Amino acid sequence: MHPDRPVNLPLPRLAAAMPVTAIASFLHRVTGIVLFAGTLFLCYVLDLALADEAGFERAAAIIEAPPGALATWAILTSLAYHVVAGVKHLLLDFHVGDSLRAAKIGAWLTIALAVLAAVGLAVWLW
Amino acid sequence: MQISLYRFDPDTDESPRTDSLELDLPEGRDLMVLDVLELLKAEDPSIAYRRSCREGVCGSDGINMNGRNGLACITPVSEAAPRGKLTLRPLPGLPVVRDLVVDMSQFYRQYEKIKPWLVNDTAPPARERLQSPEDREKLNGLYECILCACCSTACPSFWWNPDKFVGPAGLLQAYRFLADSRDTATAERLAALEDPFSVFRCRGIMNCVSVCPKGLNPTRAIGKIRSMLLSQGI
Amino acid sequence: MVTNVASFGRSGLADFVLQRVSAVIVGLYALCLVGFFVTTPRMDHAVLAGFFESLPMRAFTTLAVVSLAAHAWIGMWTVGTDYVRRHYFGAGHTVYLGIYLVVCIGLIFVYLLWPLSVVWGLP
Repeated sequence: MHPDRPVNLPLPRLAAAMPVTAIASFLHRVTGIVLFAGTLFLCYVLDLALADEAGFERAAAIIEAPPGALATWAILTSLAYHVVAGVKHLLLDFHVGDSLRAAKIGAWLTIALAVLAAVGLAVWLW
Repeated sequence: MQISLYRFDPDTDESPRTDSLELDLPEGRDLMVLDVLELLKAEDPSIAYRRSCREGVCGSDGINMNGRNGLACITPVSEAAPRGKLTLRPLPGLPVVRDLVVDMSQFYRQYEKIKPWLVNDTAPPARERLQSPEDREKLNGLYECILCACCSTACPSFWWNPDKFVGPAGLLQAYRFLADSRDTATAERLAALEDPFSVFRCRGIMNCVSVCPKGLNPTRAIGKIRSMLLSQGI
Repeated sequence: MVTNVASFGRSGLADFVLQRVSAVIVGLYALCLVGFFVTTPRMDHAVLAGFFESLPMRAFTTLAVVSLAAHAWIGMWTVGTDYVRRHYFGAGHTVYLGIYLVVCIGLIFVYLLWPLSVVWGLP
């Protein structure tokens, strides 16, 4: 073993050569982290909106203001992606789409559906 | 042709460097990347890499070409470097011994962990343990692995946890013995893989399938192992 | 066999199953909420509170919140044990991993108690 030797691990270079299946999986992870952080915002808004009428108005105002709208859009887009990628993962657990060709189609489909959701949400929120 | 080559000599270098080289390739035919390495070595004998059979059978010359792992001997230059610049680096994630030669100990240790041999505790028959053609069929797509390490060193899960995650190469062989009708150690083999790392660190990104020079599918084998674990666990 | 104290059930298989079951529950809950928002023409406090305070919805919220906690823990633990490693964080990487995991546990605790106190605190 050579524990003190250099290790060739240039991440940007390697990432650039990765197949779409890897990109799709990485986005699954990124959207999971966005959702984990975003849940704090969701808890806050839910608490406000369920407190009383005044709280509901404040919650509505927060979601309509640009920073709140952006956060809502990011959370819902991440949710859409995370759910679709999750379904793809479940299918893989049942050995559906476990060839490279099917996995590539699935990855592109996941990304395409999420982009569609992102655009749809943007139209709905603004 | 422009070539960028990863160099590291542990006796003289503190850290690796990248050499930019210029090489005249013969006109009118597509060389393999290994041919390019041989031409480079003819000019500079200090360049180190592994090679043996030069036809994709031995699995010695797995390297990283323009960000993608593969066997240098069966990867055409036109395919590795479609835009004309060839970048040659050692397999990612393993300690570099010298230049393009990596220390494979960690990779072999994971292979060893899955007990890559037939276990059968029944008394051996007079001649040999027979297998039906159908059962033999199940080993196709599993036994062909040449242990070149292209898959495991293309796998981020293996980069992050090379000591805990068995990696695609080892798991393909794990399934090769789980699927063998003559093997009687199925329960023990599965129990050894049940922890959160050995097999469950796979995220199904299929980098292994994308780079395998033999066209094998470790991701599918990993899915089958998980299904076996699941049906055994219920 | 790799042993590790910080996985959820200390079994990869248990984590694997829990991750998927909790995903389905949280996914259905999210669909339920989206469906409610899309099919409600005029949203106000009374409508929203009326939706969340029904007993089935309180039970579903509780189930979803607990599932989310398990799902988030398995996911965040996996992310942490992937990236917080010696290669990037040096010899003290286990300390950083510990801090990261404690922050995750803290947030998950908040995500458990906050929505539950809101939903069960409704009049």
